[in-house]
Amino acid sequence: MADPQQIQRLLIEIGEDVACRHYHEPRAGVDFNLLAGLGLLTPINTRIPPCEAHGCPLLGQCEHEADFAPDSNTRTPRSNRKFRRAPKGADVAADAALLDRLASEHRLAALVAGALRGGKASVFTLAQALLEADLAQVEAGGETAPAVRRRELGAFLRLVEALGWVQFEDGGLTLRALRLPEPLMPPAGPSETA
Amino acid sequence: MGRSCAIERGNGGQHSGEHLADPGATGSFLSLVSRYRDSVGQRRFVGEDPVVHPLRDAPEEIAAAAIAAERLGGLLRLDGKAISPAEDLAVAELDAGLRALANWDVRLARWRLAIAAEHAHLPEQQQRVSLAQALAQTVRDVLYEYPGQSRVKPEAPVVALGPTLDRLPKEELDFYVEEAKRLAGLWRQAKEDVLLWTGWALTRVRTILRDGEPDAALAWLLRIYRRNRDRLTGDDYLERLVRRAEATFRLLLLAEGEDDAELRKLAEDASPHDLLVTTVAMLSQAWDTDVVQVSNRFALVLYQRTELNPERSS
Amino acid sequence: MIGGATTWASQEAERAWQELHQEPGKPKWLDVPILVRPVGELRSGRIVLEALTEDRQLLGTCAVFNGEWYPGCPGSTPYSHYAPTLYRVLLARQRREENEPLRLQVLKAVAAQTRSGRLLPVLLKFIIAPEHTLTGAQLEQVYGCPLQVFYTRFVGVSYDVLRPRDGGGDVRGRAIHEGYRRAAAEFVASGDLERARAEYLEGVRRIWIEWLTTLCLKISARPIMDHTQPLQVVDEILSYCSQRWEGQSLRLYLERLFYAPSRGISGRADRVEEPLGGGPLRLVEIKTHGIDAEQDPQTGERHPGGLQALAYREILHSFGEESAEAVVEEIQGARIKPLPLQAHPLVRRLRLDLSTRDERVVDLIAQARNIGYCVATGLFTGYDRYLLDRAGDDWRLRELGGSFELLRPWPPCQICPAQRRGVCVYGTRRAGPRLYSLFRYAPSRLFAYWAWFHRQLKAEERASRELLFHLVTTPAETLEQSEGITISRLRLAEQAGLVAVFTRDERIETRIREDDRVLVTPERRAPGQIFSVEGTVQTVGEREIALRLNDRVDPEGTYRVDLLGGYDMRQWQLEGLTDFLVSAMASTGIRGRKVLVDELPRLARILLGAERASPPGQAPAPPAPDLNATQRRALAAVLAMEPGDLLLIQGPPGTGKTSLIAHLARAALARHLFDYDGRAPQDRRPVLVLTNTHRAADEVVLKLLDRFPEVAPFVIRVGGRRADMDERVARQTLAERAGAREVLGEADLAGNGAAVLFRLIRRAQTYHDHAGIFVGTLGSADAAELRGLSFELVIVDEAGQATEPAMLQALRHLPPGYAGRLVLVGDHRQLPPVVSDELVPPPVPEAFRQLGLQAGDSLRTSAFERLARLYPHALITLTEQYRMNAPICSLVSETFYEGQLVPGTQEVAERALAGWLSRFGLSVPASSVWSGPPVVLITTEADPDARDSGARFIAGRSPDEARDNPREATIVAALLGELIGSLPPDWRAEVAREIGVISPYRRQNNRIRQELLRRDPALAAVRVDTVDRFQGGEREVIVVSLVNSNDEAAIGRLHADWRRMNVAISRARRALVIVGDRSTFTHDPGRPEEDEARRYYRALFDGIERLARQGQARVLDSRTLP
Repeated sequence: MADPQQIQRLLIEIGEDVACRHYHEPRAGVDFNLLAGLGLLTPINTRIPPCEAHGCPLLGQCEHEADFAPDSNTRTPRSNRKFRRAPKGADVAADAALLDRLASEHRLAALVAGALRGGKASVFTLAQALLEADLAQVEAGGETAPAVRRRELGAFLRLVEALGWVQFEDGGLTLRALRLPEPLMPPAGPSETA
Repeated sequence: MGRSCAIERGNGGQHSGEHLADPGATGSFLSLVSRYRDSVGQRRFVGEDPVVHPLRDAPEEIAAAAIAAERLGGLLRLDGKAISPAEDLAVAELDAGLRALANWDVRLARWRLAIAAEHAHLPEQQQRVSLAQALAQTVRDVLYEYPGQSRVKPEAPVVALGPTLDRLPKEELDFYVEEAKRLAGLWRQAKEDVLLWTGWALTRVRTILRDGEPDAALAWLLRIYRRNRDRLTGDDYLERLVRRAEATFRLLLLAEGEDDAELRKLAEDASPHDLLVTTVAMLSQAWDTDVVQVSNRFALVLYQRTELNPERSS
Repeated sequence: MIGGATTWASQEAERAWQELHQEPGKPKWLDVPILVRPVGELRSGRIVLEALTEDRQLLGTCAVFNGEWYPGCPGSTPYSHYAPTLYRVLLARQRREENEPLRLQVLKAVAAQTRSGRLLPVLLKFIIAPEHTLTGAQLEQVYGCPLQVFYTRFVGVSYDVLRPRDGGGDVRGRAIHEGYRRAAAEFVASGDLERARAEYLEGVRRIWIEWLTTLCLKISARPIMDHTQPLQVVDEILSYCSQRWEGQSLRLYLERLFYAPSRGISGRADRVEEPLGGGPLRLVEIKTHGIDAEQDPQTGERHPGGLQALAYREILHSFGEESAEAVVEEIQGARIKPLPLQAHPLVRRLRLDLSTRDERVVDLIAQARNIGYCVATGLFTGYDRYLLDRAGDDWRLRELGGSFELLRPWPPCQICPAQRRGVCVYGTRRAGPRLYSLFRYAPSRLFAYWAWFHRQLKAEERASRELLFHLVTTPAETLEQSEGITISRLRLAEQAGLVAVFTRDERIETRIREDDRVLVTPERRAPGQIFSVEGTVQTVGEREIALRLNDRVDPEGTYRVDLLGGYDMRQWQLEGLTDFLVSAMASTGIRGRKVLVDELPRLARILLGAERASPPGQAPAPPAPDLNATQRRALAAVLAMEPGDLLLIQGPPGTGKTSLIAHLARAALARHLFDYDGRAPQDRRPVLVLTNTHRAADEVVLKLLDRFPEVAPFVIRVGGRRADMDERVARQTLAERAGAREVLGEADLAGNGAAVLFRLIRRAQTYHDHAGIFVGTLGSADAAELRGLSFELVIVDEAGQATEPAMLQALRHLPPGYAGRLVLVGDHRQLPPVVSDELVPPPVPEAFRQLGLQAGDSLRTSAFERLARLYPHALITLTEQYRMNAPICSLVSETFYEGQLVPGTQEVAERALAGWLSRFGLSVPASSVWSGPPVVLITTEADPDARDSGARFIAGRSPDEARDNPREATIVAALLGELIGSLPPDWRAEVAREIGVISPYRRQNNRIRQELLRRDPALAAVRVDTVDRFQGGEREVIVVSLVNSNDEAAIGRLHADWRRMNVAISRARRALVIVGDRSTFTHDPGRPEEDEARRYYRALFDGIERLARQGQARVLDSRTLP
């Protein structure tokens, strides 16, 4: 459901105004962390506008509205929940084919390609690769980019499935590599294995 | 329930038309009532919530059961149906509690609302009492917390409770939620707006004087005077009253050994009531609005359940 | 209470009573225990009592007036709590129809002259029911806010586990306490500062490893005070120790149990110093955080603690240590500030004079103790909804009297769970809607359900609270001979570190077993004085007992060991039960009015029988070739569940329920793998498995690791490493996954300890973020690993063994409004929940029929059994079993499972002992019992000397009908000796390890073990145990010794529960031998409560006869054996 056309439609719909994930995610079924990871959206983490400032259609019915009220002191963090469209987002809005290149530049592309070196891998191995990446980052000790969550990995896999790189098998438990873009081609062995 | 219940016409008592309680009958009747109360208390203690039902069909049993049920805040079973015998008492206590709130008498309101909560059994009535209890918290905060403190949110209990009161008419609910927000808004505005602050301070003085605390009233009147000094110049009668009020406190600040008979004389005839009346008069003149009306804006407006209620202008 | 202490106490009481009458009108200090019974109608202002001595001799009539007034008294004391609290206790006991006399420890009384000239004794100050012990921490809580004690100690309100809550401060406190304790012990022993420093760091390291998960709760970018302070303060502590104790000879008593029977208070002071050269005892209470600090009226400085130190000093005084002094050592930042009690703000605020017996000190402690007792036991409100709601009107509980001055000036709301959950009206800072009149507006069925279980939990807690008093006031011989909970005249044989072995000459006959908590006291002292040490039992031999103690003991002198009873787990069950009441009400979204049962969330309605559980559905499941048909149906049913659904899976013996649970967990993880991103506020994870015992939790983890290794990185075993834990399971705990033992093991803590800890925490947090399957016990629902997490699917294993309140703990981790799936896996035909024997079940109200409860049910009825009765259509029974061969399977199936149970495969059906032995090149001894069919009954009904020895410890609190049967023990030994004897020596232990002997009584097991050792040392490897400890285990050969064999056909309480027999015989894979007296179990002596059990036993023996006719079983008479 996170195929390129759907992402394009969403980016066109967002246009220049503020996009709140609590409004768009349930409707478009696209994970905003992924779009941010692909560079299509940039999160608003300073002077976050309250909901009435950008005329959100859910005014009055959304449970998260209280978090963004000017004087609210709820402890839930407000960052990474409201976004604006990034320049790359505008380009994709114009031409969806760009997504293939953007996807291959995404941090997760190398990780997925690494896991699929054998042509096929279980979703657990992919998740474990993500865990190892997280641990390596902690070991390095730096507080760099926020940890990539499995939800974003799931959204990325659904996107690359729509792009035709991979295919889910036996009830979504294993992932088979079909056509990986050149820079990610595994060094040894053909991509197509029995 | 119409007015047809029988009221005795004059021949019940022994002496010359007087109705005197018969000690023996009263004693036996009340022991009957206490027997019901103890048995219900016993069963409640182990977790049950029994409906009180008369053991025999005799009139005194029914009367005793009804009185016991009313006193315990329980239900009474009469020919098969469960009746809440003290529902009207609950309504009366609720109204008394709300009126007390409107007069800023929070302690009295909490006591009456506790009784109402004890006896209300109809869901709509119960929710109305819970709403009143939340309003009591709002009125208490507006009255006793210094305006504009960020930690305090007077309207929070009512706003949080509002959506959960599903049996109250929406109009009444919205009215009180708006009312709580209005009071809280006024209270926050009073931090900066000197006129509103003065009205709020006057409210404090009026409640303090009702509870009989002259010195506290004097203190607040002095604060009002000091906050509005630039508008209150020139009237020497007011100055004299203020000097008397200040004398009561200056006496406390005297250094060791220093004794000022004149201060003590001034302090003796410091009277909060005169100072209040004069201050109100002078302030109303200075602000050319009736300051008491400004103080009354901090009073809780009660929802009137008649259809005639004019559409409130926002 | 018979003889000894009671007569002494009675004489004291009589002496004091006479003394009182000699000086009329003059209040006197007595400090003697009496028993009282109200006379006439109770009135709150004036209570007339009939006073008796402990021996029930009448002393006379006395009275208690409000305000400690007495005829001729100059004035009355306002705000005195004594009369109102006593009135409330007496009224509640009357309502509960408890007419046992109430014990009062009378501290002060007067013989007043009434107007008519008669002398009327008036009690002024007293402790109510001193036999009920309250701890120092509880006193501190009462002093802080009595209403908080009511909500947390009695009602059982606890924190919402779905809301993240930091616990770093506690771990910092524990690390400093442990380090300081070890450093002090080492310094006093060796006087060497360096070794003391090493001991300190070892203490901190041990706490950090054990409590690492709690430290993971706070997200921080760099090391914070919780990590750094324990290391910064080490130099200050060491210099303080050396400066105070350099060159002094003294003894340290560390964290010893304190108990004063005359005050009803117990507790553990951090340290008591006894100068060997004489001089006053010095009691030290260490405080590390100051949230409950007292403000000094003169200087405004804030100091924590105080009341506990005062209470422990009062305990010391009550044993006659008049000159003991107390100090509160406060650790702030890197400095220690010792503060003598005289200078403590609490003492200065209340103007207490500690040099003499100041009555205000007694008032302060008596008020906290009496109000604490009245509130925590529920006597203040009982289960009256109106009283329960009205209690919340005033945080100082004005109805119990009590001087405001003797309470903290303002309630510590910020640490009170009742305020966070909106139950307490006083919580001003709460944003959410408050639960006005929670108890009155709760639906009647929900409230009755809560009250019914709550009463039983409270009754059990009362027994354990009165144990210490019973130990101190009952002579040691009675405790040893008739109750078997004490062993006296023991000498210390050896002491290595904290493990001590005590021996004595005469045989040890006792009920004390392994893992029991015990108290070791020098015989010249009463238990609970500072000289007694707590410990747990490692082994019990014929003449020696090995214990692991908390502190070292003096080598010389004789000791006594007293049983303190098992681990007290009722508080967490209370919290589970009350969390269900509060969460169900909070998630209705309705406030301010009576809620109807149909307005509760769906899962709550199902549990309360207000809505039928939906029948199992079918959903596409991932391929599971190694599951049989019914297991696959169960897997599909769980995957088809909607949020708010309940499913019951019955797993009879050997039907592979653990592997099913492993499949369920993996399928749920796979389905929700990419759904959630662990972001606040609602961090929702795929699956949580909660079991009843740690052993079962370990088994689920092992099955997951074996069957699905690719899932291992996402599995977390909740809790820390335990002694008996498999290594692979231990590595799945969060602390070990992050490598706590290795990293902290060799790190030089003094150097960069905080940085090492911080990186360790960051790594543990990463593992925790990615985890998807959590496995733990029901008791760890509030564990740090689970805090803030809600789960799509919660599976309760061994649900048949969990009490209803324990099972409710699983609901706490379902998403808000119980919008998650609950699966109960268990078997109500196997062992029921473990509940203390003396529980008298309250009457089952008629309305409880809708709950599936019937007469005779109690806390022992598990939720699984109740719900299985209510919703048979929502129950899936696994019918293929992979343990027992065909004959044993058919015996179990026909007797206990209406014939549903069948062997899973042909190989299982045809299993035989011979086949198993031949695999090792061994053979069954020809022409012996073992060469015949797999099921053998050796009946001893005709054997005259095969009678059981009769119950021994029948007196005392909970009669243990321990019996043993020497003849059966020898038969068992003979049988096994014959089987093992025929094997080559090096194979004997190997085979013996696969043999199990089960009997219901521990004394019989001891006897069997000794008989086996006497016959063949290799038989030491045979596991001999009670049924309860065998649950879940299985062996190739099982021998059951029934023991009960007597003329009055008494089968005892353990056999009266037929489910134990089902568990016993279903442990066997290839051979089952039952040794016992058939007639005792089938003859009907007319005791109705045993009818159901006898029906099953008759079916069992008939089944064996049926198998014998088909040649699959043999019935032998015990006399034909040697």
